Parts: sequence; C-alpha cells; structure tokens
Amino acid sequence: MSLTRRQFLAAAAGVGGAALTGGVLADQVWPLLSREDLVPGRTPELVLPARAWETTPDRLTFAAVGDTGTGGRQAVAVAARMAQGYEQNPYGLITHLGDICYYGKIDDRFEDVFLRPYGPLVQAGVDVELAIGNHDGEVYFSDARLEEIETELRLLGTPARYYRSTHGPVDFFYLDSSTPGLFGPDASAQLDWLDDALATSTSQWKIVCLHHPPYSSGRHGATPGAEDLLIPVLERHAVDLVLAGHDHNYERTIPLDGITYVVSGGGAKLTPVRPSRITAAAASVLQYLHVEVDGDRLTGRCIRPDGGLVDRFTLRAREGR
Amino acid sequence: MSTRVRARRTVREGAAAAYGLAALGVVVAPALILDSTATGGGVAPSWQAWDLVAVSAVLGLGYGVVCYRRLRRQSTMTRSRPNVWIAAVHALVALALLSSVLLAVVLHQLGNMQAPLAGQEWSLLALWGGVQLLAIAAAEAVERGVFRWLTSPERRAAAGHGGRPVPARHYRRGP
Repeated sequence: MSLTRRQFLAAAAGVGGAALTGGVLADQVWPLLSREDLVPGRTPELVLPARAWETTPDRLTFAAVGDTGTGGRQAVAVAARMAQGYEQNPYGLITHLGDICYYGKIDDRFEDVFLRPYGPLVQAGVDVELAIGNHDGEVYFSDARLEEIETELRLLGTPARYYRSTHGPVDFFYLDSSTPGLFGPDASAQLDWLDDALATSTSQWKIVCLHHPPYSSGRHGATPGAEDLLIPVLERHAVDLVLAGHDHNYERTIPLDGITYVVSGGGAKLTPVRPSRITAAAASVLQYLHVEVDGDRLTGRCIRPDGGLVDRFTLRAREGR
Repeated sequence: MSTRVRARRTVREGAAAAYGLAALGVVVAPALILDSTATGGGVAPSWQAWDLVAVSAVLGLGYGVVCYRRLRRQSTMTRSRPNVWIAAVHALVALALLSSVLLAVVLHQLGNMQAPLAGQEWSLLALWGGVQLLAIAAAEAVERGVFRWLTSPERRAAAGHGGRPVPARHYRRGP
C-alpha cells in the first residue's frame, strides 16, 4: 500500500500528535486533575449542637487542618468529616495551617472556600485561628498581597499576621511563614517576637502553627532557612509540637530534640509523600488532625474523610511543666 | 468467502471496536481520575461520587458506538481506507486532549461559581456533559476536516477541470 504525499504528512502529524498528546496528558493534564480539587463540593447539611465543647485550665480539644482553600468535593469531604468529628468529640477551635483560599481572591471566594464547607462548625461557634499561607495573597510581598491577607484576617477575626493565643492549657503561636516574612531578610522582627512570646509563656503546652513546614518529606520538602533561623528558637524554648501545612499530605516526625513536627496539609488536595529517616508516620491522604490535651498528655489522631484513622500519637508534657 | 477475506474483515472490525473503546476511554478518563484520586485520598465511595463517571460513560459509550459503526462501514466500503484511519487518529488525539484540557480549564475558570454549581447538582452535571460534548464535537470537526483535506485532490480530479468537486461524503461510501 503506497501513501500519497498528503496521506504521509497527515499520518506523520497524527502519530506525532498522538505521542505529544499522550505525553502532555500523562505528564501535565491528568496529574493536574488529580492534584487539584476543581469539582465543586456539595454543602454539608449537618446541624451541630452549639458550643458543645468543654475547655478547662487543663483540658482542650482542637482540630488542625491546612490547605483547604479549593471549595471542591475533597475539601468539603474533609470539612464534613471535621463536623462529624465535632459531633463525636466536640472542639471549640480549629487551627488553620494556611492556604485557606486557592483560585482567586478571598473576598470573592470566602463563601465557597470557607463558609460553605465549614458552615456547620461556624454555626456551632467554633473559632478558627489562621496561620497565613503562601496562597493567602498570591502576589509576592506586594501591597496587593498584604491587602489580601488583611482581608483574610478581618474575615476570620484574626488579630495580626503573627500572634499568640491561649486556650486551656495550651499556648498557640501563629507565624506568617511566607517568604521573606520569616525566613528572609525581614525575619528578625517576627523571630524576635516569637523568642519573647515563647520566653514569657507559662502554659503547660506550647504549640507553634505555621504554613511552611520546618521538616517535611513531601513534595515541597523542608523549608529552606527554617533549620538555621526558626528551629533554634523552638528548641531553646522547648516547644512541644509544631503544626504545619503546605505539603498536601500527612506526616509526623519522630521527636527531634524533644519537638514533634506534624504536617497536616491534606485539607483538599493531594501530593505524594516519601517517608524519610525522621518520619514516624506519613500518608498521602485527605485528612485533619483531632487533638485532645488532657493534663500532661496530648493525643493526636489523623483522620481521613471516610473516618479511617491514619495515625495516632501521644505526647507527654515536658518535665517541670 | 475465503479465509483470508474473513480474517481481514475480522481485523478491520477488531480495529474499529478498539477505536470505539479508545474513544470511550479518553472521554471517561478525567472522571475516573478524579474519582480514583478522591477514593485513594480517603473519601468514602458513594453513588454520588459516580455521577460524573456516569455522565462521561453515557457520552463516551454513545460516541464510541458511533465511531465503531462508522469505521466498520467505511473501512469495508470506502475508496481509500488510509484516509479513514488517518482522519480517525486525528479525531482521537483531539478528543483525548480536549476532553481533559477543556474540563480543567472550565472548572478552573468557574472557581467563583462553585456555590451555585454545588447547590444545583444538575447544573454541574450539565456543565460536565456540555464540556465533554464540545470536545466530541471538536473531534468530529477534526475528523471531517482531515478527511476532506485528504480526499480533496481525488474529488477535484473526479470532477474534472472547472467542475464542482465531488462532496467528501461520497468518498465515505465507496465506489
């Protein structure tokens, strides 16, 4: 069978196009579809009992979740599980580990990414405290970015870009880890503040919340600069637990100089994680962290949207606290 | 009918069926990817999660059957089988690319409309199906365009100088 010139050209273009398309689909488009959470999720229809939690000077229950800002089906599935978690074991606080809004501005998307998925918990009166993430204000350290962050802080009632809050036996320290805020040339102001705040903390538990993980075996990995600038401050003041997001997976490290580092960034999207020598538990799953503090014992449970338990760990308070 | 002719026909029908299955596969692929990601990430399987797969499967199955029947007919009757298969390959490439890329682009661009889309399930399904129908229509256009381009010299020759070219559809029916 002989081909005409047109047939040969068209056949060659077809084979080339097929090879190119296969490559683009396999390397770019299909991974993008599986990585992002683009399909809108149905609003959870739970009605939760208001203010059902109990916080005392030595007891606190809270939830930690990060990278929830899609408003998609996966984000809603995590939020719905958090609401079910509240039904079973109520908590009055969500520590949000950043990236509360993807794909647009928070003013336009607040209902989609927050009020709709977290409606039942918001209605129940649960507080949300935010650690600012790199997607919370897409434009790099500009006026527009600061304005976006200010809007987020206002909508969530968060007092400042970095701040401290106390709930029961726990002092929480929220950092703005977006570069160059914490790890760049302007780091000193925030690190000095953290140093002072940790030094004056008298609570039994000290938990630092930030978006960029000091240690991570996920896609982004450990945050450059954290080891030199941040970790010495955390170790000097014997912080108990560091909660972070950014990588869209779950990971808990073994205690490193007494500090346990947890990445809880599976609030909507998924990326792979490869356990490393410091990993105690890791999984590429959608998840949130349900934490109970009872006296000198802190118990964390990483929970998937289907209710499955990914990890459970217990920490004991430092000696002398 | 000799064994050789029967074997050739079987090969042609098999190729047409494989093409139909490929068309079904590339239409359903985006929905399957989303579903498997969510399930792998720990979202409990439910019938609601299969809605997009069901819409894609209906469209993909319909288009796959259309492709199979057309290729089976054309590859036995048409004047030039290479033209048919070359045009079909182009259409499949366009369908594979567009059925995934268009969905990603449209869903990303409609980020600000999640609440109304999520509030009315049918509107999401209509959007999903509409985008995939658009991809199928584009693939059809590519198939026809390539086929027309490939057969135009023959049609011009058949019409003679100064005459109107023979319509491309006549070349799908064979001599």
